[in-house]
Amino acid sequence: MTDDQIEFEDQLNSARDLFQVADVNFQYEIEALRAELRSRGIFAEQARPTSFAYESIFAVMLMQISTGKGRVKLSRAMLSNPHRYNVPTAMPRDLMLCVKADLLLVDGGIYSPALRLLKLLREVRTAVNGEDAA
Amino acid sequence: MPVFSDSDSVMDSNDNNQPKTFKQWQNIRRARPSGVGGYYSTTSQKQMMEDMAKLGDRFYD
Repeated sequence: MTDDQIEFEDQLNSARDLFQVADVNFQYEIEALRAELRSRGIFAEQARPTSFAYESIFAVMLMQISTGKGRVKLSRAMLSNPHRYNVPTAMPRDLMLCVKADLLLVDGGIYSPALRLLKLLREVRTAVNGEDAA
Repeated sequence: MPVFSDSDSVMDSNDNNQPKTFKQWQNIRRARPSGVGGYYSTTSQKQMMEDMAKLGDRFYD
């Protein structure tokens, strides 16, 4: 672990906290990113009311990865048995889908933002923070 | 004249065939997040994805 990495569990908990206190504008950004991710095939195909919090937290986590330390370490044990680490069971799958969609890069269990994610976030923020957004 | 002419509800029959913008969907989220036809219902989420595809860049207008 180096200074530019953060443990996945810490990143996830930070995303959960931020989602809980999201203001109106941030909720807009979260919803837009969540919709964009879903349109790119991330998340389970069938959207369910019970999964929106998870999907929102996942979107927040991607925002944090793109602006924070930038590199998140996810151990192989967490990938195999996420429930033992308080990690949503769908998260390893969705992280891998993000890698396939060229939104995240992964190397040795360390996830970092791809340029496409940075571009997507910039576009989302521009779109929802325009005139009369909130 | 419809009583709820300016409603964004997905249950309205008036404009059900017209794709909704992101802003209209967010109004639904604030007005009715859950329940049948609510923003987070499977039907609405599916419809929002379809509207997004139909409107393209105009989705965020």
